[in-house]
Amino acid sequence: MKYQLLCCGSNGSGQLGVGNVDDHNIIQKAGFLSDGKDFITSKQPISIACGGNHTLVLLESNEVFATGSSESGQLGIDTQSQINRFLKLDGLWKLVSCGWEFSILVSMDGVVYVSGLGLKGELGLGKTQTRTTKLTPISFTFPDMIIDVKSSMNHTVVRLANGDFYGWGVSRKGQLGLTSEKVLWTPTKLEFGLNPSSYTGYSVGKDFTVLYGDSGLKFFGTQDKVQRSIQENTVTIKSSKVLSMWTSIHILDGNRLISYGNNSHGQLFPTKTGLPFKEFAVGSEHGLALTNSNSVYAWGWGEHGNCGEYSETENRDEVTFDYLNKIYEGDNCIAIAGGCATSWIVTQLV
Amino acid sequence: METIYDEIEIEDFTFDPITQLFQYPCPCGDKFAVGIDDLQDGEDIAICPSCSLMVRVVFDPEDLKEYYDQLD
Ligand SMILES: [Zn+2]
Repeated sequence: MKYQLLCCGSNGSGQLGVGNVDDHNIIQKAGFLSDGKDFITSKQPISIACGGNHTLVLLESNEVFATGSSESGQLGIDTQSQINRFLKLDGLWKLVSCGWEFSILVSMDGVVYVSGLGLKGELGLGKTQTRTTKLTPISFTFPDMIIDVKSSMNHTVVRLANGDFYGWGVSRKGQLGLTSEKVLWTPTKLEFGLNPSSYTGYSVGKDFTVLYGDSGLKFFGTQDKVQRSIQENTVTIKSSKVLSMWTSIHILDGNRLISYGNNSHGQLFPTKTGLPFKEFAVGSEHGLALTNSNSVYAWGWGEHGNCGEYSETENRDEVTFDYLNKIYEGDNCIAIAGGCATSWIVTQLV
Repeated sequence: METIYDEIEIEDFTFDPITQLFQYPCPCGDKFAVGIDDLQDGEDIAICPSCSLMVRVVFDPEDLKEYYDQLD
């Protein structure tokens, strides 16, 4: 079995890994830097993490491939300012996440490595080290195994096997739970009110963290429009999956998707044109849905081609996709992911 | 009428005393920017050079003093 990586969207720094720095509104084939060939591998891509202008892809073989800007050292390779095809990073990795200009990689033995720029604690290396151009371990021993890591623009939350949450980065808005600190410079155990084990999952957006479980949904941080909607709708949904764009949250409720928050550019799921889907993903300000027939639709802010070609002509602008726009049709799509105005598709080749 | 994508507090911007610009990440990957003199003149919109999104800067005119002090 082989897998192929496809993409479209914002690409000014080579973050699509397609061999150029042009934006694309038609699905492209990502490629490898080593030989210029298409990103086709026998190891399934299991995680795609996107920063402002860079992308990391984790394969089931625990190899990580990276592309895009390394201007601030976020790729952990200090040879070039950017690369526009995927380069394999040294080492084997269990988990990856990306924030604005930084990358977080968890090694097989549970050590957190970081690279890039973080003026407000994003690297977790302490107040004196806000920049590194090579993958640098955080000298902190977590009391249990890390099972999940998620980053938004400038904060990171990890979950341990025992259920506890640890985090670092900007905490001023309350996005890292109950703390009076403006910045958590090193990994810190987070307090989210309830016993951590009452949360089954969590998601991070710009300036906020949302946790969910049997007792409903709990919001920490600021994002006025999300908070107002949560209050108005007294969200008690027991969801299996909640994802966050930068300024909105998206709650899977059975086979419906309920969105709360900023709708300046059609970010809230256009339920009026709903269709059955089996998986969804979000980027900074757009979403992707994988249908039961394995086609991929996009909605939200699509100014850089990340929602495909604009097809509804009656609208004034051509950046607001307040409808589901088909960006990929096929029977072999197995996974989707979103980044900062980038869209990602993993297909299975038979 | 243009849609304002988001409202951002001035404290969340990065101020560069050389360029005299306040900057903040845009979801496209570039950065919203507005000059300190523009804020002083009553402008409160930061724009992104790579896309059509705009944010409103939330600030009081007296907030600018500490940033002007950095210019010396
Ligand atoms: Zn932009």
